[in-house]
Amino acid sequence: MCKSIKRKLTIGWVLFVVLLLGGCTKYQDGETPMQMDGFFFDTVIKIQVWGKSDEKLMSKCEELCRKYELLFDRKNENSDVWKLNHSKGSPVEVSKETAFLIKEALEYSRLSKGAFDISVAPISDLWDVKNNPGKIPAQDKIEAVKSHVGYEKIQIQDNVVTLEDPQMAIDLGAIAKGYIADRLKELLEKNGVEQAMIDLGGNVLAIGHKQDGEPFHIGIQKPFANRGEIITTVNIQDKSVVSSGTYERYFKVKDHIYHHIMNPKTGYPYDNDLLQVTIISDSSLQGDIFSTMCYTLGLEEGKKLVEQQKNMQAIFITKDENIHRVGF
Amino acid sequence: MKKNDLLLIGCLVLIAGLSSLFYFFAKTDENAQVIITIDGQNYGTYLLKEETQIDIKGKNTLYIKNGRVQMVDADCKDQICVHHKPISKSGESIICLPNKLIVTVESKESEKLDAVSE
Repeated sequence: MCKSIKRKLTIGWVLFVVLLLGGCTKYQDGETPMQMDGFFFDTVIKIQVWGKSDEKLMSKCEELCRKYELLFDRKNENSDVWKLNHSKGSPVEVSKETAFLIKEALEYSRLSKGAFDISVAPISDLWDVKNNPGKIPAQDKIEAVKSHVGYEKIQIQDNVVTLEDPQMAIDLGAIAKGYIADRLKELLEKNGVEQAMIDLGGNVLAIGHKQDGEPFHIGIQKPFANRGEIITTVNIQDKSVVSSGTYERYFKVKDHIYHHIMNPKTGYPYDNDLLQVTIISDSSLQGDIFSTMCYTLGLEEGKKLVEQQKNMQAIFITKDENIHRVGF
Repeated sequence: MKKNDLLLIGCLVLIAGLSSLFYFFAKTDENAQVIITIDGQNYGTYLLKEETQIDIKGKNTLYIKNGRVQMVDADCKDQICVHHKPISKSGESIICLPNKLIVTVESKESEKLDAVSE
């Protein structure tokens, strides 16, 4: 009797040791992250979470992406943005998230005196840089669409938005990824995550630092080089890195680059001394807005704007391929 | 009986030790892997050091040679993946958005990028 109990105890102890040595589960070895890959917002997204093993968390992230994709995708008939763009001037009640994002965008439109404008969509649609084989639109067409652009014509009260000009259209594509990255970070942190890397098609947002205590090592895409070729790197901890530039989408006519960042005042792509602006900031939405805004302002004005912000750094790449670091 | 118990302990500890060792060495650079996924589903895993040409569903052709991975052909319109520089470092990836294809290199190299801001 006594012997059998002793034996059971021994076996129990052996099992304990074995589990201790070899029983590390997939995610608790401290190095293998939980990972989610997906295709959203016309881009590829990757979320990695270290130190947690709750797979449900990754499905929650996926749900969140799906939810926002449905709100902000102007090509989807059920989205808030589609409804707004087809409202013919009448007021539309949108979700509080869409209302928030539009309010933020309007604030920065005012700050940049219209250089950054979410209502530039009619101009972008006319140029259709993504699919354009090299045809510059006719001047009268440019003038025509230009007259429907203007953030001042967007009225917003609580969750009700009115586009006063029936032919207006807005596009939240330039800032949606930043906003969603911030929401993903919020969701993960609420669930106790201390180390994660959120990458929404090149919008990078880190929670904490790496497993070994080192900061995350982020490469900055070299303008006009092959994808994945790096011009410089930054080390970040709990920060967002977002780049904007002419090389993302463009076509060429007689050595002149026509890219996707449109000037609401001229109806043509911006033409200045910059190839790319990268913003390192706390919020990824801020990164999205400031990278585009600084690009539209050019090197000198852009630098000044960054210097005025708290906790913001920037890397400007000029056409002569010089790297200008600000706030480091 | 006591002797057998000890034997059992010894065996189990040995098994645990050996599997940890195997697990540890399986992750070194020598065994850096090239992982291919389509729409989030695993399509195939290859060794970075082995020279191969991989036909991916007749849509993309991937070439692994001298520790570098390159997309040599794709049926998509934009050809972004074909123009991507060859990858070799852990964490680097080539993406073909139209075909929802992701090719990633994974190893335990220390000088790796955690992400690229585009």
